[in-house]
Order: sequence, then C-alpha cells, then structure tokens
Amino acid sequence: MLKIEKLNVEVADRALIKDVSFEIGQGQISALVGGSGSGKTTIGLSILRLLNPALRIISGKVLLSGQDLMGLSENEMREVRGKDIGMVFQEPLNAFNPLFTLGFQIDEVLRFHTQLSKAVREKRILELLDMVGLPEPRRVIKSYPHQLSGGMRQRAMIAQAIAVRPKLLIADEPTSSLDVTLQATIMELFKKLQKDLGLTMILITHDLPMAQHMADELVVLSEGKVVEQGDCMSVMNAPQSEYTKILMDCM
Amino acid sequence: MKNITHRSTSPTVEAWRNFFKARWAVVCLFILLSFYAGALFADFISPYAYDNEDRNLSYAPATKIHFISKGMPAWPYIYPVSFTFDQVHKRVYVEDKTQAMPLKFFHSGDEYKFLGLFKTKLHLFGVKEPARIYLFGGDSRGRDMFSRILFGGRISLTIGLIGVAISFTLGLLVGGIAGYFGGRVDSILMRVCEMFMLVPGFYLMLALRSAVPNNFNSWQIYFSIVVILSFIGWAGLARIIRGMSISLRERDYVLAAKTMGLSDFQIIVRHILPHTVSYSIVAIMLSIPGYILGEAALSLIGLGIQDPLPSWGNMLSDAMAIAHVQLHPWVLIPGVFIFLTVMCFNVIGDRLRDCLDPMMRGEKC
Repeated sequence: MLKIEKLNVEVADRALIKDVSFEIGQGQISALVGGSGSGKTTIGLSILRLLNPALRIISGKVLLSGQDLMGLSENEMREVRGKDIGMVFQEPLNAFNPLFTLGFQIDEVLRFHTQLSKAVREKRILELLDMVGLPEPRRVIKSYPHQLSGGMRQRAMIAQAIAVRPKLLIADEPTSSLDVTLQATIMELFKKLQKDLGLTMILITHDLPMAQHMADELVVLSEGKVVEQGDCMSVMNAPQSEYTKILMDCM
Repeated sequence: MKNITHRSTSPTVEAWRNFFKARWAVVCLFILLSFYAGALFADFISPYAYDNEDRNLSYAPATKIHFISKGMPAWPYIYPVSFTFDQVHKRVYVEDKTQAMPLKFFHSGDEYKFLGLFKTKLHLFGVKEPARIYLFGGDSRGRDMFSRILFGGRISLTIGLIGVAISFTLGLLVGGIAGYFGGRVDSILMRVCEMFMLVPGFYLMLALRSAVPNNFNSWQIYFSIVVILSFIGWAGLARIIRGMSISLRERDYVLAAKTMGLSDFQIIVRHILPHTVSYSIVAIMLSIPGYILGEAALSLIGLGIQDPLPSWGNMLSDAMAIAHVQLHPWVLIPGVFIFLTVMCFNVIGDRLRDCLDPMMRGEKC
C-alpha cells in the first residue's frame, strides 16, 4: 500500500534520513520506533511533503498505491493530504485552533475534500464522533478545544483525521501527552478503527511496549537509519541490532 | 467524560463582557453611537436640508427658544429675526416680538428621501416661515449649522470606517502573506511597505490628492479621499501583522491544517489572521481618528469635500480667520464634534486594549 524507497533528507548538507526504505501492507499497522532525533517525525512529514523549508528531500520515492507522491504538483499533493493520508498529532491542544469550535474544524476537512451538503456533513461529523467514542457528540461539536479533556481532544482529532476515510493514517506519538490509562483506551480505539475501517497506519512512537502491542511490523530507527525491520514478533523475540536490544532493555 | 462546560464561550466573548465594566468607555460608546445615529437620520432630525440657505441670516446667532409667555409657562416658541447694522457696520440680529412662532414637532419642511426609500417632508422639529430655528447658529451663507453638522457627520464619520476597512483588508492580507511565506515574498512586500512609510503622511496625502482630477464631483472626491487615506494607513499595520504571522505559522494547528490539505490562502485567512484579531480591533479603533483628522485637514485647506456638501472639516474652514472666531465663535462647533469623536474612539480603543491584551488582563479588567 505504502512503499518508501531510499528516502534521503538533509538539512544544510548534513544528512538526517539516510536511505530509509520500508513497506506497509493494506490494513496493517507499522510502527516507527526510535529515540529522540532518530528521524521518526521527519519521515512522517516527508510522506506528506510538509517538512520545514530548511529540510530538503534529496532523493527517494514515496509510493502510495503505486503513485509516487514526490512527483506530484503542490496542488495535487493538497488533494492527497487529508483525503488519502490523515495525520494525528502528539498534542491535540496545540493541533486544534483555539478560536474555532471542534465541529467547525472537523468540518473543514469535509468541506475541502467533499461536495457534501452542510446537513450531510454535520450528520457525518456526529457519526465520526460517535465512532471514536465521544459521548454527547452534539455538545462536542459546539465546544472549543480548551473545554474538553486531553483524552476527548485526542479522540476528536482522530475523528478529524479519519473524516474523509483516508487510506493511510500517520499517528505521531498519539498518546505521549496522555496518562497511562488513557493511552490504553486510545490504543484500543486505533485497533478498533483498523479492524472496522481497514485502516492502514503508521504509528510513530518511542514506546516499544506500545509498538509491540499495536503493530504488525516494526521499523527501528537510529540516527536517521533503519537499524532493524521486520515482523513485530520476530524482532521482539530475536533482536538483531544492538540498538534494538538497548531499547528493549529500557522496557 | 463529564467535563464539557455547558456554556460555549470563546475568549473574545469574555473580553467584550469586561469592556462594559468601564463607565468611561460606555459613555464614549454612547456618544459615538448617537453621532452615528444622528448622521444616519440626518434628513429627519435636521430641520433644514444642508443647502437650504437664507442669506439674510448669515452668521445669525443661535435661535433663542422662549418658554414663558406673559409670565406664564408656554409651549416653546421663537421669534423671527432680522438684522440691522450697528455703528461699526456689524450685523446685529433683533427679534421681531410681534410674531411668536411655536416650535412644531413632526413639522413638514424640505423634501427628502428617508434612508433612500421613500420621499417625505417630515422633520423631527421645525418652525413655520418666516421664523427659522438655528440651534447652533448660522454659517456665512445663512445655513443652519446644526443641520449641516448632522449631514457633515455622514462624511466625517464614515470616511474613517470605510478607510479603515480598506487599509485593514490590505494590511492584513499583505502582512499575513509576507509573514506566512517568508523569504523573497516577505522581502519584496516589506520593502514596498517601507516605501509608503518613509514619505511623511501629510505630504503623501497632498501628492496623491494632486493626482486626482479637478473635475470630480463631491462623491468622487469623497471616495478618492478614502482611498488616499487608506493608502497611507496600511503599511504600518502590514508590518505588525507580518511579525505576528511569522510566529503564528509555526503553531501546530497550522501544520495540522496543512496535513488536512488546506490551501495557503485558506490557512492564512482561517488559521493565522483570526489570531491577530485582538490586536487588530484595538488598532482599528485607534486608527479611525487618523482618517477623520485626515479628511478634516484636507477639507480645511480646501482640497477635500467641496461646498455646499458639508463635512466637519470644510465647515471648520470658516474658523480659519481669527476675526470669524472672535465675532461668531459658533463656527468652532464642528471642531468640538471632531474632538469628541476622536476622543471617544481613543478611549474605546484604549479600553479594548485593556480587555483584549492578555498581558493587561487581571489588572484593569
């Protein structure tokens, strides 16, 4: 479904991502695991071509259902963002604009990517909020981000990310700002969405136990390089690289 | 899961509530609203049309309204006035005590179109000819100053609003685009802004005014003045908005909006500029007086609105000669209105800043 081939990203002549390649199959969850600065988020944003202007993609292909995203024009790329690929951020309080209601902001994706009428869109939003397990969707629609708890905000953001049923969901540390019990429920939600919607997902995390619990495939990154990748169980049972062993020792 | 609050209040709503806690600001808001209402309903409130003149009443003093007839309280009435010359050939107006003309409410006078909808002759108050009621006195051509101030408000009070609307749209867009894109776009736009800022405002105004053809009618002049004034105002705002959007573009929700596929323009308009609103509202309030004074300055030196159409500025040009101020001080009344308007906008702007600026919150609000 998604295939990344020899991706290289550099900033001011210093290589950040070195020849990263991996593949995700339809309906699978793949976890990018690594410490801070290992390039997990950079890879995530490279897929969407939304890197900070200082960072440049030197070479590489990002194939989504066989189509190379690197070859698309900026306008075509905007169609892909949100519609084919959705993204969930670490800190939902910052990722929502504090001046608008959640209903308005979820509606933004639908307005941009679909031709649905206002009434249909609203019905869709209510369904989405229900799907991600938010109680009283009608009230959530009219709430501002600061009026919800962290867990509810994260659910609302997931609803926003899957609003147009994207093929791929990139979740960048989706639970790092939440407490442990909430982390578990959000992870259950992702599992459920994967099952119900056939969602393909890239989970970016530094949390190896969570990756183990969630993912089908593991990609372990260190300093911009893939140090190990493969089936989740086999990597965890028999880690090949030193770095993976160090990460596992931290569990 | 039960912690959704029942009221959905945005931060701005809170600030508006606080605004009304300050008595001074509310008084000023009331004064301004009554000025605007006066300008809107000028045809109805004023007893005469702005160009209704009686040369026999040139610089006639304010009409005396009498409330007592033969020692008894009576319905207010006035006497017609006529002039004689005194020993230095100055006009002296005397009342003709034989004709008491009662003041009439909903009097039938000059015909006008009410709010441009239907023709009527109804005025709030008036008095039968030959008496004329001049609440603030008459001007050089014997026109009612009170009526002319109401009509003049239409120009002087709207020029600020329209001017601000134009220059803020321009300033917000240019600043937002420059800050959001950065790089070369930013450099070019900011150099253009600086070109406008480095010419002293008043001279730029005169230069642009001289580029306007002389055969324009009053309304064309009105709009060219608005455009000229807004041309001067937008650059400073654009620079400040640029600075704000440079910091706003780094916010997570801007990145989030990008991942949703929104276009740059949509992001600027929806996710960047709304965050400059609290600054902009204050800046708008504090910059409106500049437009009012700019129009007054142009009209005062005869380059603005042309007689007979009144504006507070061109009415005030009567007061340029010290002799007029000495003999008939009421020619300064338009100046009082300009002063009050400018002051009210400043007080309200100040108060809004206190309420909207988070640094100040908690101190005065």
